[in-house]
Amino acid sequence: MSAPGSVDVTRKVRFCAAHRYHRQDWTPEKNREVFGACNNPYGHGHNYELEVTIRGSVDPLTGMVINLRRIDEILREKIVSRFDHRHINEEVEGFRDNIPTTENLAVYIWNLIEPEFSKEEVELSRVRLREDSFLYAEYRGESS
Amino acid sequence: MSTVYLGRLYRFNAGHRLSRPDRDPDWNLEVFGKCSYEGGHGHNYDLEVVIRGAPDPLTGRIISLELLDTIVNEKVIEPIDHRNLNEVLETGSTPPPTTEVLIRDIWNRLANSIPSPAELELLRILETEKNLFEYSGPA
Repeated sequence: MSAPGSVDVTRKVRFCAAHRYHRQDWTPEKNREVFGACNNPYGHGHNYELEVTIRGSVDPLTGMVINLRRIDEILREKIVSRFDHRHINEEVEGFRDNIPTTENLAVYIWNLIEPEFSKEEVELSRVRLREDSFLYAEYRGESS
Repeated sequence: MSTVYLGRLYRFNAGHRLSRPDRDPDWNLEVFGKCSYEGGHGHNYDLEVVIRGAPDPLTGRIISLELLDTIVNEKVIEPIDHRNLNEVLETGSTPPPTTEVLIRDIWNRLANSIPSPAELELLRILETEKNLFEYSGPA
């Protein structure tokens, strides 16, 4: 539930990365059956679009929930510099055994940036990661 | 376990006419405007299906996309695409097949078909670039 007068601000950044869905502990047939073309041996890539939504009250001095420049810095330092033009399985820590699905990436990204926004005293409300125009995964920090 | 939402976009087109046969043409024209014109018309619909679940620790997915595509194609796209909504919706033509009616019809086709533990969270339909409808099931 949002506090009275709170406003959501959404910022979008893009990065390009490669990935492959593959489990070492499965046979090639099983990998192919479950992951389809996403299991092709050399990986493939996407132009990802990451939408980050920040919730907070509007500062009467600046008229802002958070300075967009600060959002950009956090996203550049924590996300874009880590993922852009990388092979996620090979080059991003934590994806050796964790399949870099859009779902897992959304949760991973949340965990990287949530503490940063917390320090800024605003609330990270939503992370939405679009793999292409037909598919996105969204995480709101909820557990089941 | 993390709850993640996954949105998948599907496209179809269909014809419809908004008109109540139990009311006179003037009433229909006043209420439904040009959507009541006798021959009907059509739209390219964008359907966004949002699924809620926790990523499976083995696959990292909350649902198999191939399976989701198969379900949506069988339950929604094949029966509705390139058809006349006045003929194919479960409600028939009463009330007329507005997108509000269409979205509940699609919800009913899909809601029980999503393999647990994943669940249908939300449907969004863009009828034209100006008209967006959302439905998250019966209250």
